[in-house]
Amino acid sequence: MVGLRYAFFLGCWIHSELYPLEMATREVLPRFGVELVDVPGFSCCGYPLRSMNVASMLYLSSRNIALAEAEGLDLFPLCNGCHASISEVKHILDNDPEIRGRINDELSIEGLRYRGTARIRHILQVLSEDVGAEKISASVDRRMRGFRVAPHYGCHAIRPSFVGRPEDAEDPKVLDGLVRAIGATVEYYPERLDCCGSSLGVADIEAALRVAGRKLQAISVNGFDAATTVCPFCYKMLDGRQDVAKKVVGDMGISVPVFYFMQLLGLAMGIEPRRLGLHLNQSPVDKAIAKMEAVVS
Amino acid sequence: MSVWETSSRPKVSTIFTIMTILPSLIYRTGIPQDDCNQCGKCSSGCPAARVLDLKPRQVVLMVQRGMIDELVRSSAIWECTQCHQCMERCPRGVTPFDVIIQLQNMAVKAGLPHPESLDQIFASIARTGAVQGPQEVFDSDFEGYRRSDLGLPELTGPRDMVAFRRAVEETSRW
Repeated sequence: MVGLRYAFFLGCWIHSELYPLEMATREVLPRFGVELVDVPGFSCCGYPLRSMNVASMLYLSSRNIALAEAEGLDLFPLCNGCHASISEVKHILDNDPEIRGRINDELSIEGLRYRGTARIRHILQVLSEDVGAEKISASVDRRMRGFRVAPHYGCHAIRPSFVGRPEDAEDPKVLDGLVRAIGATVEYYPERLDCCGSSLGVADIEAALRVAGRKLQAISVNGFDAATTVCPFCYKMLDGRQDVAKKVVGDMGISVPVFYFMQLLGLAMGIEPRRLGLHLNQSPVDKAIAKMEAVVS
Repeated sequence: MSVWETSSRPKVSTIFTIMTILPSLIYRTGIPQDDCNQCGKCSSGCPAARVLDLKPRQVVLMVQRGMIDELVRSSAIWECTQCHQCMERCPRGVTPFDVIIQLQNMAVKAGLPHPESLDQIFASIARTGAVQGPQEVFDSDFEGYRRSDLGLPELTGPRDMVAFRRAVEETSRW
């Protein structure tokens, strides 16, 4: 494997509290020969400021790309939201010389320059294209056999399609393929494309929880063994806020073990749950892990 | 009070010109004066429309009718989940999402009410480079963990915070 070396960009939420995502990724990817480089100087991607001034997002995303480019590396934002905003900003800068010039004037204040040389990679691309389903299948045991997983793609992994997303906007299949590669079963459910509601939290947290609660309800009624996502925002809504979301929608019967996909992959590879940060998940993952372990013991 | 009711501030139609200051930022359709035929696919796919007052179709209709003042003063424009479904599904290339973002930007520029947390997020990014610094997290037994407890490296933000802040503040005034 050549060139699997990425500037590893965590974004604010993974770096500051969603540690299991970072733990599982740092634990698993190097085993497939993917080197994660911590580049000093990264900041917020600017996505949260889009609502205040689009230019703030332009600046912040550009400077993070420029930092990776200065190291001669492609940029690998682990967060779905960061990946979408950075990809969108790259799309703007690569297609609009005037905006690019103005941004580069601003970047010079920090001694940076956007060149447009770095690719922006998504975790789904790293897994499906760099590593490949075949290698993944070869690295897992049989514990996922019969394990029924509901994929939750996350809006920003599938849209906006014009900037290039790792998944199709209406018929995503990449995450499904990866779930199959670890030996589990992919379950279809009509609400699979529904939003988790996370971004609504800025204006109305109760409404955000209602959206999350409905999504969880849709998964829970089907009795799947687990839900999985590659997005930190969705992970936080569906895992960390599951308890409060079920109160908001008045359905205390909701019980969905939620795994970040790298955690599921790590488990299938036989990695110890704590090394994947699973003791920090707040949804009922223990029963799901016990079920997997029963298969291999 | 309905979210569509307006507050009693001076008329801000003039800030509509913000949309022309950075024309290429509205690099997609922007203002769908002619393109939208009100089919409603945007609202039917909108997660916020199911639980709140935001209806992308209605926003576009109001823009077509020049009701910018009403829009920038309404709390409904802040109910967007930023899921991008409305512009993805529009059969005529209209981009309600961009319109909503532009209306939000206009409201902030005009000093109209907007979620307080946005100001806090901006202040935190300008001060530290991030929305928030590393927090202590807890397992189900209420045992606390910091990054170092979990074997995670300490990472460093912008090298020259003075330069970073200057650039962030400059671009926020574009």
